[in-house]
Amino acid sequence: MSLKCETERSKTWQDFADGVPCVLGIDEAGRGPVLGPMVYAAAISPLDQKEELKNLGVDDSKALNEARRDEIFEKMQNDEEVQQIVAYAVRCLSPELISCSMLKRHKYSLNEVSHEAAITLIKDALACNVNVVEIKVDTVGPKATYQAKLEKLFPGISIHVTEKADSIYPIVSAASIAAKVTRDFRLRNWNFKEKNVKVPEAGFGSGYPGDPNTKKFLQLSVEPIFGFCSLVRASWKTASAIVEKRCVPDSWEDDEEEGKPQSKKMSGWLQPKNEDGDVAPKKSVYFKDRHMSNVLTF
Amino acid sequence: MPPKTRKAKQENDEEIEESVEDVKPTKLPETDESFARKFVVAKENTLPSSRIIKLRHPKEGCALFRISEDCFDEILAVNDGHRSFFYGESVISDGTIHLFAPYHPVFVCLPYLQKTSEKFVEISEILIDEQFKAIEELARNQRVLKALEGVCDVKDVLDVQLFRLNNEKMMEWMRKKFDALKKELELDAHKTLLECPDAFDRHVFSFLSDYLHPSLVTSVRLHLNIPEAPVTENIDMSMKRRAPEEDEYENEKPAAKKPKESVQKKKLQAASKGTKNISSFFTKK
Repeated sequence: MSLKCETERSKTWQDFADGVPCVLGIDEAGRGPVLGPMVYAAAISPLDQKEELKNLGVDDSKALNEARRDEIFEKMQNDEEVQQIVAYAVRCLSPELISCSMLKRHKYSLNEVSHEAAITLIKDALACNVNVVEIKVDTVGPKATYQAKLEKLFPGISIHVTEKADSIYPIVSAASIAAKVTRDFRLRNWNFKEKNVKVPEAGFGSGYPGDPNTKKFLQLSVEPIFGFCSLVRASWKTASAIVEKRCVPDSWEDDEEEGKPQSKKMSGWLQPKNEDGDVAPKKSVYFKDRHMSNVLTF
Repeated sequence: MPPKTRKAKQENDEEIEESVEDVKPTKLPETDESFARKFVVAKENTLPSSRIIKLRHPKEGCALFRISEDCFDEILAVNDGHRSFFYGESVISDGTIHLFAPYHPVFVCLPYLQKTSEKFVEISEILIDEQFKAIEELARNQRVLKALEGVCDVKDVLDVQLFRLNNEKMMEWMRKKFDALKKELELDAHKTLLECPDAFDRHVFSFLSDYLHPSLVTSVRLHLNIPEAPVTENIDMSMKRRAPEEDEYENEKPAAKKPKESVQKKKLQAASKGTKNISSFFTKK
């Protein structure tokens, strides 16, 4: 996985339904957990196939449990008839990608990352000749701003941004199923790229910070120097709190900029002194900028 | 899972904490001094038969230098305090790189040569220092003796070489050093610094001053004709506004002058962003 994010399309996504007008729904899974990827999914279905879509059972949020979701998604993946009714595409954002975006010099909030994923999916549908006429999206961040942003990017398409969109629009529910099942699968079958990651006997749990198995896994697997393996979203407070507590103290060059306390060992660096009272010369700006100084011992 | 009440949740958390506290994080390996290493950047194949000596530094204080038949270098440590090395299967926590940076021996000798301005003296009488005896090594070094001819008059008397500092020769030599240094720094300098030749000259000279005794700095600066810093450069970079009282009267002065100065000031500020105020090197002592 890592820092790349690619759009994975279902069999009938490209040129879906030969350009018949469609509704596109977007939902995500795995926003809150501290472990594993966040998955964004878009589902498309012809406007004139609303009944058929409902009949798949995507609608029935009360009946949707893990088993039922798996069942429906399996059909979406493999059943030819179903594939004429609905197609989907997913974007999997790895824990590393999420952490990086949130921790870079130019920080991208989780909301911005989410918006970007959704927008990329919509653009992908359009580029794949899907005749998108309506878009239904679950809210991420302030509703009005998100709606305006999307309307600006995709003029001429009817856009609805609402809370609980997955309960209101069957197409969003279908996207939600694709996202959840994909995420659950990728989490369950996570392949550690690191060697010897300590995982408790009961496994690492659901990945939610409140899950006791997840907590145990975090405490157990953290490496005192290198921190967490790539399953963990290092930018999450849950994770950084553990690093704070259980890893060796560290200092970074940009701590100064962020107003964090400086590590003691830097003091006296610029003008070395030794026990004999010898003092090295203060260096001019050129050398100071490059952290170069004379030495009194070697 | 049914929602937990706050109290139940807290108890659960404590339980988890307790059981996990038993699981201590992996212990770090003990330090093993046999893995300790120093990292040096030096001219190829010059390390054998080098000695590291402590000398009086021409600028102030003292420092370590490396001397051999063919080399004379200042030892510089490069480290921003946040680095370590991976070396084979080990980690070297000290991330310092030591540079053996070529250093012209004349710079070290000049403060000693000052005492020969009137008469010829034997080198062993010139390069002598109670506190830093290692200076005597330079007196024995052929390369150094040859180099001294660039700034001294030399007289051979009965198989003994005598040296006398020649001020004109020295100033010529300084000029050559300055010009060579300027050429090199041009490759490295910020565009806006290059656009202001006076400020750039001051920048080059500030570098050169690191190699000179303070008493020499004034005379060399004069000889090289380094322009003085204008008043505007003395303004502390952190000061965003002038005091209101001063402003009232300043408004009467020619308005035309102001825009030019502030543009130059902006350029200079941009060029010296993050650096110490250059003019602090030229404060009257």
